Amino acid sequence: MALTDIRLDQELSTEFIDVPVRFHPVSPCCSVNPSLFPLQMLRSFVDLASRAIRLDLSKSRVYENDFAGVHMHRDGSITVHNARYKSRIRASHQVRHT
Amino acid sequence: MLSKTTTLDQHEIPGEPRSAVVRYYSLGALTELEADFRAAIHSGPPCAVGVSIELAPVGTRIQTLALATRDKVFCLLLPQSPSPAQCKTLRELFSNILYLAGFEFSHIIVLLSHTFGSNVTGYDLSTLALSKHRETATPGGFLNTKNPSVNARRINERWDGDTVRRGETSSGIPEPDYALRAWFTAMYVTLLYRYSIPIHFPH
Repeated sequence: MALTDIRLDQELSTEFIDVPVRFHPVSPCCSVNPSLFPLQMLRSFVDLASRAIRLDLSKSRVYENDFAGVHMHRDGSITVHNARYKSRIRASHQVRHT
Repeated sequence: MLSKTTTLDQHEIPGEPRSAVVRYYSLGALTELEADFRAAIHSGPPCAVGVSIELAPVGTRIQTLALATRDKVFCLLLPQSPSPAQCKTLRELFSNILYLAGFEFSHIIVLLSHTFGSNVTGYDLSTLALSKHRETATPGGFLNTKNPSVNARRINERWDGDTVRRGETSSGIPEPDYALRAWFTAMYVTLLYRYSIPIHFPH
């Protein structure tokens, strides 16, 4: 269904969406002209955008664990020292046990 | 009325200003903000403006709008939705911005456009450096791909609200500084030129 197929007074809802939705524009240039959207459509976009922002904010950034030390490197990689187990972290091409 | 002025510091992004002045404005001081902002962006060569928004605790209303150049941040506090006259002033303010940029910008412009009832155009930095899995880039990851000496994790920590550095006092739930987000974004656009990332701005 194209945007032009939606009547101005048509009720739209995002209630049926139960998984997070992300906008993925194909171009870095973004533009929104409210006069081109039916009001209900714009409100649905606003609802989705605000849910996406709140979802990102709700993520916890601090976790309890057994790590005795953490060393961060300039390239964004990280070395962790586990106080209890030497092999608690699964080895992979990204992870090396020392 | 101008509410307060604070200063932000950074050592994470090399070659960029170490500090920025943050000015907070109430909705009643919107014309003052517009005048100060206009003076800031017209005082030198055309500059990019970084934008960040904070939502109200409930609903889709914007609670804080942060606009930043490389060394100045302007924060508008919106305890309620702006009046039609205030929306007109905000539309004029945005019409003066040549290059508007933000992270997760597709979310921001939808909310800005709905709040002010105007056309909003700008650039989404988070889609300029997609990973191989087509995931959008984090602010730290984005800059680290251009300059490996940049500490990506530290930038992401500050972007998320510095929950790690706050340690015991942190609940683990991030409380972002939206002024800092707008400021970092404005500096990033300068870095885009420095690292010769192809980006085509409108004429």
